[in-house]
Amino acid sequence: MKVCLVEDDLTLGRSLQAVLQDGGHEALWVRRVADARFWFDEQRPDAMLLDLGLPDGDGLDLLRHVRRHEAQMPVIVITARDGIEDRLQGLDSGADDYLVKPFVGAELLARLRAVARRAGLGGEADAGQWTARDLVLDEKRRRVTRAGAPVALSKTEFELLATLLKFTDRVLTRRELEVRALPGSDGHALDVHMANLRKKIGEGYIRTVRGVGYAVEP
Amino acid sequence: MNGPQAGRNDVAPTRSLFKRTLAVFIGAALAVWCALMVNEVYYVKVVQARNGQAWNRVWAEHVLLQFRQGAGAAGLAELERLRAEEWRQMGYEPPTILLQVLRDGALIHEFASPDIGRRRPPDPAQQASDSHWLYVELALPEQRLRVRRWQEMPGDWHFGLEGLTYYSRPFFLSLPVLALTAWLVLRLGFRPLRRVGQQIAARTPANLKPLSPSPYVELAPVVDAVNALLARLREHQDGQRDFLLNAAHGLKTPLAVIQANADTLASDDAARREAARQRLADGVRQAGHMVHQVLSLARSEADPQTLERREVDLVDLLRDRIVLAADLAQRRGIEVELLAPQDCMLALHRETMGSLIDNLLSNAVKYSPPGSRVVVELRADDDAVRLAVTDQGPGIPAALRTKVFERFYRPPDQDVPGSGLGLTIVERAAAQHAAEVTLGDGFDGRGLRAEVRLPRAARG
Repeated sequence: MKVCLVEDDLTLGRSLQAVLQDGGHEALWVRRVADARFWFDEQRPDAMLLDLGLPDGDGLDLLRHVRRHEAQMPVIVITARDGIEDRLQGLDSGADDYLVKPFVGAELLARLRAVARRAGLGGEADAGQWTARDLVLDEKRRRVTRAGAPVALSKTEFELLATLLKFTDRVLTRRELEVRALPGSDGHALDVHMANLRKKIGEGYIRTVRGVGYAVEP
Repeated sequence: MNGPQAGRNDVAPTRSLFKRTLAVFIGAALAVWCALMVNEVYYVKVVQARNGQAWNRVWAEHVLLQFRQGAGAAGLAELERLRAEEWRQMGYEPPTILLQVLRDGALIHEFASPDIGRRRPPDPAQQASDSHWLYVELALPEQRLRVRRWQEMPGDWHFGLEGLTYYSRPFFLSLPVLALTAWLVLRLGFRPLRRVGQQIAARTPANLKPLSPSPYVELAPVVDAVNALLARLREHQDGQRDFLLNAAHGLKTPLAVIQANADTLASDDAARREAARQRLADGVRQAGHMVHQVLSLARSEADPQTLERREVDLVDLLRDRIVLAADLAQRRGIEVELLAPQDCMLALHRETMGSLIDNLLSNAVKYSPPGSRVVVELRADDDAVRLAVTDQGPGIPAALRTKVFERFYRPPDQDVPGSGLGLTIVERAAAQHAAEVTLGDGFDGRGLRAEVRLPRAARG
């Protein structure tokens, strides 16, 4: 994958470049907003790693620029600012995920893989397929199997499961699930659909975090 | 941040205390002078006119008396001369008069002051007082005599140029005296204040010694207030220095871990390499955590006045923060649950409230044994919102429950790594929302229950 890395610090930039290359990616490292904008316009990378504190401008402006031209391109924001407001601003401006310095290289690659896969990138054989242990959801063919046996789900249950399987790395809040899988429904609808879904796929896949949301055990 | 110049006058001062004091002095003198002038006018116009008329009548009676005793023109002239002499002896100019004596309506004697030509003589046909002349007429019917006497209205000169110079002279003569007095008063009066100012100007962040006490009753409160401020600044500075030292110290341990393990990474033994890598990662994580906590504390120590509060759904914020803590909880086999209403809108500073929640949650998750529960509970009343985090960990002994809020304090025999700032951040963040934090026992007397009582902000 061709990843555009925007980081002004020399040591961190070099290290991240090495991490990306070790992870099998092609890293295009720039240190300024202006250069990042140029390379984005010229080369259209597959994904972007963006540090927000840059010497010649605000990383958030660049992010908005990227989003105007590429709605789907995965962007991970790297920030020294660990404040809630910065994180929310980053996500609101269109970042898919964020990393707070300091972070481990493996974490960066895992996050990159996750956002790329959600964006349908990577071109692997299992593209569009999401799994949790023996549960397989095929997004293209709109089919769910458990240990090879098909499971019949309603449209909403399918969307719910697809959303959960795409974010196996974290807990999804009730609100996030409603926004992504049940747009325009009230709070009780989620509980009903969730109960039905669990009945159909069986216990042990979906974990409840009481009062907060749900997570799928990978 | 404002520079050290902040607060200094951007423009040179334009008002002058000297001018102001002088103006007040002159104003007061002018007011007194005007009052005296009013009194003078009254005296001249009313009292002296009354006295003048009395004199006029008395002298007319004198003249009649002389006539009755058979005095001639020479005697009457002598009488007038004596009268004028009497005025002169007292140091006054004698008033100008015109005297006419008539018998059977025919003028038999007339006397006029020699200076009567200086002013407009009275009109003998107009037999009444006017603004220039006091008039009196007396009759002695048995001798068929009639005396008419005009005497000048006293004090006319008071209202002319002569009078103006006479009355304004003292006022103008006093002006330089007033100016000098004003200058002296200010010069002497402000000298101690200037000295205090010089002392304050000599204070720097490195020299916050108290000012020497002022012997002046008026200045002592100012000096005391400045000294109190200096004391607060010193205390704050000491606190900051301690904090900096502690924070730097807190970073040294993880840095030592990192350094000690960095070289082992070059070892030939794969198992040792892996162990060193693991410890190095731990060191980095600890250092990162310390930095994060220090930043968090700095944020929560900001002046509450400068923090912008917004209506935020506290339940939403709690969910968001629990999601972030859920990863660690899941790894440690701890179940986190939230008992809260659908939503709870509250005027909050999201950043510091987030730190508060994060620290309560991470404490609960870090210190709880695997397989235990952490319950986050939110209850909203009309006047307050209570946020409680309860765990099944070792708890905090009652004796230490105030001590743990101190910066960098860590209970003895503590193996779980931490910055010692968590509860300090919680307390400061709570204080910014006018909230109180209380620590109590968790479920069944085990573990810890940390409760934050957030009063609903005064609306409007």
